[in-house]
Amino acid sequence: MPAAAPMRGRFDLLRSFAMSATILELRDVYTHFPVERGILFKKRIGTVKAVDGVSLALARGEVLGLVGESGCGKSTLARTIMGLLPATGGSVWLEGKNLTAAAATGEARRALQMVFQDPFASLNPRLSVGEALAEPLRVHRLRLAADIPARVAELAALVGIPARSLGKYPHEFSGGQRQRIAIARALALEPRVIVADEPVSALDVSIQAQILNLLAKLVRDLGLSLVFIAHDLSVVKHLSDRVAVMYLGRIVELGTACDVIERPQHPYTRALVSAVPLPDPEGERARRRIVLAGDPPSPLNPPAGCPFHPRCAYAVQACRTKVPALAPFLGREVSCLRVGELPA
Amino acid sequence: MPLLEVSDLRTSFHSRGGVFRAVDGVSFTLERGETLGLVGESGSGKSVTCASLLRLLPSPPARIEGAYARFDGLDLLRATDAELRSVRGKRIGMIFQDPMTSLNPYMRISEQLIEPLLIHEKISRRDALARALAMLEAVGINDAARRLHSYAHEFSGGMRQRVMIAMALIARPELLIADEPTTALDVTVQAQILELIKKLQRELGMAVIFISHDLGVVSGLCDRVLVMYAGRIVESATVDTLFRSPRHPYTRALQRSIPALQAKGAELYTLPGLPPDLSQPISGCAFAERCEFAVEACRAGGSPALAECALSHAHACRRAHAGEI
Repeated sequence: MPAAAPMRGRFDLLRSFAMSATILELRDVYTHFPVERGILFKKRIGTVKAVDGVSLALARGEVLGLVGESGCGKSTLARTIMGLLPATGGSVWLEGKNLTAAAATGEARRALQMVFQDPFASLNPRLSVGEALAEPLRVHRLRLAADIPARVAELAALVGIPARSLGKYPHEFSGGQRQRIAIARALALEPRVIVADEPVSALDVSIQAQILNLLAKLVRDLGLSLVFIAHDLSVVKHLSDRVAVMYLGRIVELGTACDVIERPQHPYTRALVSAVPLPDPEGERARRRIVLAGDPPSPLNPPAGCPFHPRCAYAVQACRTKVPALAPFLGREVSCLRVGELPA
Repeated sequence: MPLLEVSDLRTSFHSRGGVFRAVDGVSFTLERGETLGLVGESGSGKSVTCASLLRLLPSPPARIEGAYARFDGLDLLRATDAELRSVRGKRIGMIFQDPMTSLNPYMRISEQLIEPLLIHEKISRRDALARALAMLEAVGINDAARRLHSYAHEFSGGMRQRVMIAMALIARPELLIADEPTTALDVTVQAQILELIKKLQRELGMAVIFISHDLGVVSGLCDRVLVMYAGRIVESATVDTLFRSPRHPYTRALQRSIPALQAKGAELYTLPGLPPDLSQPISGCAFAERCEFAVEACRAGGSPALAECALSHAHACRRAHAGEI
């Protein structure tokens, strides 16, 4: 850029630089579901606040782990990002385009693809693997008909499915191979961001390792960004650059994987981390485990104040009334009123 | 005398497609009060082993053969139906993996809880209900008095699993068989359930067979661990020995593929290939096809036998026994 460029041009350059660092952004996203009673005269009797004000930014090439108990809203958040569920508030931005705007097209969403938990349910049993991989290419007219077979073979090779298996149907594959096929299908549209919702939870330990290695390789080789949802913290720590911990539809802690999982600060993250059993018998006996009482409260009727206070060992009067905001603490963000006063 | 002594248990499923050898010569003993872990991948025969002991598999297609499975002197493999009924639910309790499908949706929880008591003990309905209430409280269900007469669908997954545990324990069994009781649950609920099993085990002095594919869960709970592969036990050791010095290549491979023990960014060890097809005859060691140490001799002859390499540490790898690994 010439030195004499006007100021405005410089600002544009700065802006585009900032935008290139962030590829996916969630701005204060809400996904609420109405609870209705009655058949003819529906009456709204409540709201399930599955996602309740989530803001996040995903950088290019970054892996963001999203963890939390079942019912915390992590899958709903994934579906909201994908546009499979409408956001009831806030916006989702992909490469500077607002996906939640009415004008957003399918074309804009192409760069965003999803891998689901259950590869037994997410593949069409009546399409051979080759057909399943060719379908998105045809629908989006990404290749000429003559070039499709070559691209399909390339996709299969990328995920380690032998080319001779392309004529087979999903039921002829094991769970791990099916998940590879589902990943290849997500890659067919050349996405820049992949949202993977518990992609290894249904798999055995040894197969899980293969899929984790594959995801790590794809992120590295293709420069993909990944939102990785899992409930297994050791899996998340292995793969993620940053980790967001969700509780009742909100993010309670967000920071680097190392900070959040090895030195958790929010009382909920601490309990979550201490509950993970380690494959080390001596370490297990020496460990002090924080066992949380009860189940997570229902998102239909969340407690007032900090949503975690009924199960929190450190809750004081203020926690029952004041909702804590996500605020910087020790190099990460934590939403806890008492975060500075907690024992180390 | 051990509480349970299983010798050469073999369970196969017979169908038009052939014979599927799900459990192929499993032997082990369990002392009173001991916790035995049973680990392995899906299809390795863990669940079938335990279901065979209680003869819970429909026959046909299942066929159970074997030398014997003595539970306190009674051979479970040859017991009459009446003898089995006196053991099931009374002296041996079982927790199944999936609490969603193992509870009866049409029966109130209270009815399901007192059923084993009414069958096995001379007890009035009122006393049985009092015990059911005490048991629900013991497994940590809040507001148990109100919950007692609910139906299964009114409970969350973690609470249903606790109801299952209460059902298995209400008759104070001497042996609890827990088949992946926490696999479907969140880690926080899993921690609650594991603490509960430990506590009840101390109080009742019962023995536990704990089936899991999660080595982390097993390491915190069990005294001794059996590792299964393709229907056979490939390694048996105390939990400390198994984690500190595993000998069988399969056990080592399992440990190396757990993300918790690896540095971030390091590639996880992965086992090549798939477990063998158990409907086909296997020559030599069933793990040889996936084993990094396998040599030609491993694929020849019969299956390698489980043999001791140290006190209470046995494995079934010929090369490790020969000191070649």
